[in-house]
Amino acid sequence: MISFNIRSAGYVVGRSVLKDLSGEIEDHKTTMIIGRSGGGKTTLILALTGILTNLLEGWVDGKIILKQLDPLDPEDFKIIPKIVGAVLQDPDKQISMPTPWDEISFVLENLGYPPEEIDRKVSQMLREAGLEHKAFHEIEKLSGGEKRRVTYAASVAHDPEIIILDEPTASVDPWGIKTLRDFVRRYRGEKTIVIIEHKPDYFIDYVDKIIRIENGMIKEVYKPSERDYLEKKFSEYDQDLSSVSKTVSNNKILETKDLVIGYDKPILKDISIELYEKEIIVITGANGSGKTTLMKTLIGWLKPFDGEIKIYGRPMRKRKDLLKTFFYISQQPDYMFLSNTVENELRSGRGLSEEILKMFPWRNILKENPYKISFGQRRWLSILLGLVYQRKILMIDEPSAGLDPDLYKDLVRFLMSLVDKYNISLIISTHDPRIIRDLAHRVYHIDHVKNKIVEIDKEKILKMMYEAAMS
Amino acid sequence: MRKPSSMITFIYALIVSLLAFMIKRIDHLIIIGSMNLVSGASLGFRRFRGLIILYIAGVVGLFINSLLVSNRGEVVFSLGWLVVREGVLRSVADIFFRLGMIFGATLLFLSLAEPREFIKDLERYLRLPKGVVFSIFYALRLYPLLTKDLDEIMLVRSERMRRRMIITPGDVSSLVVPLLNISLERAVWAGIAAEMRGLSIRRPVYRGKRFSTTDLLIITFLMIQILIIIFI
Repeated sequence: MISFNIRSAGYVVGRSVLKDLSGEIEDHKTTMIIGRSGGGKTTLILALTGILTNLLEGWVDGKIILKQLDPLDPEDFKIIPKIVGAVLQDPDKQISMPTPWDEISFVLENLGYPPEEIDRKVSQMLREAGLEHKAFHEIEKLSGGEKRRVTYAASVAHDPEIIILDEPTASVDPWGIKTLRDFVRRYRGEKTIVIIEHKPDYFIDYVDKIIRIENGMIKEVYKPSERDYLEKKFSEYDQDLSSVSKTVSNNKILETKDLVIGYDKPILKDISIELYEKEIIVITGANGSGKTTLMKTLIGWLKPFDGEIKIYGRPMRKRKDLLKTFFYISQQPDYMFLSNTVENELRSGRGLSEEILKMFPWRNILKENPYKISFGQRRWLSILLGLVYQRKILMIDEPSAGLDPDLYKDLVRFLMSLVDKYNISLIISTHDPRIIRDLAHRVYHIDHVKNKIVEIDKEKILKMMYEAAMS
Repeated sequence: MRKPSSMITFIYALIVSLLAFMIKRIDHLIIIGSMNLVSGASLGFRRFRGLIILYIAGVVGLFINSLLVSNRGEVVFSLGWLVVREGVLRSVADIFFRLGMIFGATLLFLSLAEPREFIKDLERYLRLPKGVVFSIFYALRLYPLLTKDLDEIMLVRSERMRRRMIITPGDVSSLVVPLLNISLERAVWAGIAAEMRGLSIRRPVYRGKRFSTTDLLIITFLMIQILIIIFI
């Protein structure tokens, strides 16, 4: 059992992130922690595992017992890796070894397993993860889903009693979510599982308890017997926003004809898509199917192998011409910033700067460094940059990744208002069915088996995604 | 045949490189330089073909330089106005085979060693601290990630109308600041993940070295070279 009674805790002395939290996480149960971004979910996990005090120079005023150990005590903290396995949000931040074999054997070597046992266990874990034929491949050459499977395997290789999953569904396609659900199902009841998640629907049928944390405090704890109530609550919480008005112009702004794209060799052929003024199209497809490659080709960063890109009916080939129309907003907002304050970022384009400044909701952080503000704020700022440069088409890669349900709703309204007010069009690449439901006028789906992109009915793709993830 | 251990090929390359600085006699340089160039080039031809051709092509530049600064001694041959003296050939041979020893031994090391095995050997046999070994491993992992980051940042610079050529301190800053911020955050989480997997309690297993046949072949090859220097 994990029990905690935290009066306050934080990263910097005098600034509490967690306040008056107490509770228990029972053995062999699956517990989900939900709540707004920045509310203290990850900090709680860092405190419970002792990382906050032992590695991050943070502080905890209170008492924590994790399997009869005090993780705040440096000696007990050394034993924590033996009983805890963790999967972080981004595999690229978690994996530190160059091959899947090394990544999985790393934890076993650290914990002093004999070499023969390490070889046996690593082979077994790789076999279970379906990666035995890629044991010594470079991690970078694996797909996103395969990297995920490496992190799952590495987290349970030493047979820990507790598994922690920190926002495991962020940027994961429906097939990846199915793998994740299979992983949770397999260890459910056998191990204590703690999941931090913004999209609780994916695990609602597996969890025994849900803890909602807001502003560093526990707001609610749901019991398993209240599950019906919970499902209602979530559907209400995650309400359909499709009632927001959407009007599309008849002016076709973008048309691609038989476009063939890829890096070294073609990965996607015969791409023929259309986009109208004030229209929002969503591009879906499995991880690695070519969504980002398509966006980078449209902006001229990658040269197409064949085909045409037309803007208002005129073929465009040069990057500088395409750059006048498109603005690409990366999934990782940190790539987007070039100035040292939020205000300088928003003033870096021509005209409109005062108006755009007013559109940034957090007026008190205008003088802050963009890298020091929260993830949600960075996401907002990166989208506003598209307006700063006054482009007609914004291409946004996974806009909802890492956003809590409240911020998600704000984001949908924000994007709608941009389209309505500034006459712009959006191309959104996403795995998030909510974005399709709430924002898309039309959906293009990349069939990674046939290497083709096809327009698909909204209801059909939503059903397909749901079935792929939840089956 | 099994590959020799990365540690043996590393030690081989290290000793041959040291010898390259120590050998004084030109005949020793020619013999040992040739041995290493031939072995290194034949092992590494498939992967490092371009480098090998570049190295050989470099002889032309070396010859011209020597002609300008070392054209002394007995005339060896003359072609019209071009008079080549003993000093030119001596300099060319000295530099070509001295560097050839280092180049050949490095090719042999790179062709036979696996980077990950080599790093593991640093801990197993050379007993480097676990923190240092982890950092080297992480550097291997980080390199492709930094390449990806750089590509993304250059795309953003391009769409935000910044020049692609990095000229001014402001350009450098706008490139380095995001790169460092992203790398720092990634490194913090990689560190946390590593600690969560017991890096701090890692007790490296130091192993005594058992030599394979190919290890012994490499050692014999090295011994032959040392014997040539001592006895010929």
